[in-house]
Amino acid sequence: MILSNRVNETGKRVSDLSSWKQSFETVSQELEMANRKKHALEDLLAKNRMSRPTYEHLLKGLEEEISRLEAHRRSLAKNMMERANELRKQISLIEMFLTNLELRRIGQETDEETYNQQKESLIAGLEATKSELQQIENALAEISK
Amino acid sequence: MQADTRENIILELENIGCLKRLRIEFKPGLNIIKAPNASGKTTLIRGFSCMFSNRIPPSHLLALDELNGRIRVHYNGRIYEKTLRRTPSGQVIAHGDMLPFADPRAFDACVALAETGVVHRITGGSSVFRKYLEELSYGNYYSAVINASQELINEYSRKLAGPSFKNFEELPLLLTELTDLHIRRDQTQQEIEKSKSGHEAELQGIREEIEKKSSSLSKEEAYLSQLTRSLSLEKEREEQLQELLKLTDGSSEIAANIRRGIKSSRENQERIETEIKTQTQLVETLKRDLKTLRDSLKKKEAEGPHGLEDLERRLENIKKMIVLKEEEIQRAERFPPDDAEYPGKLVVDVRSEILRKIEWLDKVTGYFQEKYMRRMTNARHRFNSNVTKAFQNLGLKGFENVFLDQDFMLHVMREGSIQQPVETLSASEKLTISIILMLAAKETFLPNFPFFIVDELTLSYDPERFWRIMNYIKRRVPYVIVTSLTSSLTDKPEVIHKP
Repeated sequence: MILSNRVNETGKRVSDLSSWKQSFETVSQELEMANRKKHALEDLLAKNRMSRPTYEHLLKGLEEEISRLEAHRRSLAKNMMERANELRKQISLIEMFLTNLELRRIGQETDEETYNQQKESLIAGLEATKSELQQIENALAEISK
Repeated sequence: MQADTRENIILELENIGCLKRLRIEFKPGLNIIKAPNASGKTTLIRGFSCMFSNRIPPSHLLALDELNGRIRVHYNGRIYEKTLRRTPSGQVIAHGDMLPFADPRAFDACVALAETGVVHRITGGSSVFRKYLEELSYGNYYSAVINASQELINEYSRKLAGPSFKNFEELPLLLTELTDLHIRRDQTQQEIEKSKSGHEAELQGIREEIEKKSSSLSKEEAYLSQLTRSLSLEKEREEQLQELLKLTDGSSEIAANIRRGIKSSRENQERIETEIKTQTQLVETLKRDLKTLRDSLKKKEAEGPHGLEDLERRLENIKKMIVLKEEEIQRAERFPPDDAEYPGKLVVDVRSEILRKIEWLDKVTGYFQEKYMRRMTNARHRFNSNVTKAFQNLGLKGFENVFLDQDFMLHVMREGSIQQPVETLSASEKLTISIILMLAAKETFLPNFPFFIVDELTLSYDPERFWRIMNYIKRRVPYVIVTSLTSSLTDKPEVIHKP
């Protein structure tokens, strides 16, 4: 789960979709679909369109699938929390680098061009990191609902 | 059963093969049956064999031109008799006694007839030896159970591949399709709600605009009316001033003031008229706008939300598809009413019953497979051990060892541990190995069976080696019977006994 930066056609830095996000979206969609199927199944039973033994047979399969998906999502959430902690550390580190850069500029230890280049890189990294952290926090909030 | 080896055994045959009537005596030790070609040596062996094994069919025993036949054995103070009878339909039926040591396996392990394929057995490959040891060790009972279980499993598996079960297996997919339809239905309903609320908001906007325009129009019309009244007053004022001017001296100060008043009134009238004109245009514009808005409102109210009909039609179609899908699901969970085996039954019930049976049969197969493997491994080890013992005891030059490997493939090891392919052995060597393998089989599986019979295998054989082997067998088996071709003038088999 590494957030990689690449440059698009217009020369602007963009963040690739992190693998955790793809996995999270996939598992969330599958889980929603499984729950909807369960609802459809209950509807069939209520309408007498399906016998109880068939319902229980299909329900068993569905509940196993739901349990598997929930376990996967829990494991994913754990990884996401670890990733969030890692990103928080990265943010502190980048902020420290930025402060250091400012101090070097004040102390005239770096020329204006180098300062601007480094600052631009650090800010881009900081924004990307903060953006990913925000996405993870949103996703985690979604899970805990 | 342990045979009594002290007794002589008398064999009597009547109408068996080419033998009309024969009485022959076997003594403990080596019994050599001598006779020329086609005089009944093999018939005699076959006839005797049917007293301890039912391998040879009765129709192969009874003389072709006879209706009845008999085989009688005097053994241990008792007579054992078997009669053969040809029915009017031509079938030959045998009934009667079997010798007390009879064993269905004895023919394969103790009778070396050319027709039992004794040579073929060693060149026949692993499947022949596996089958041979299976039958002698009763491993074939296990393999029969395993095969029967497997056949049942296959039969149940074929059933599970039938159309009703296939339809049932489709249920999760059908449920997914139904769920997709539910999602499409909900989305379409949301689109309809959105379309209706959007339309209502648009109508409300127009109504508010009409209200605003109406209010403006009232205000502007009131102002126009006020302007008209002002113009009228101004005209009256000018008329009054004109009347006053007529009454005055035209050159007086008063007349001059009245003229100024008239001029001012005319200017006012002109200004008011201009304003009335502008105001009239404004009122007209407002009226037109209001009409346009009212027409638009009327039209939109009549039309209803844009695309609503399409959406509602789509929703109806989806609802119909949901009903069809539900019916498909309903059909998939049961066998059709005209099903030959399970009419109208729930597939899930039948399926779980079949799966339970398959699971049980798998356990049976596994259990007997293990038993079979153990028995066959044990049989092979004991068989190999007896083969090795025979070769060692006989001290036959040229052979170090002969054994079956775990795949029941026969290996012939020459001196110096050189393996020789069985196919490349000489005819004489093949016969030697065949007889020793049979003896090993007898000693492994039928150690108490009192006979070992060798029929006409000496035709292409080294006589010295043959009699060495026969003497070895004689020391291990109570009665050894060997047939041998002779050019004697007698037409009946004779027995020469060597104790």
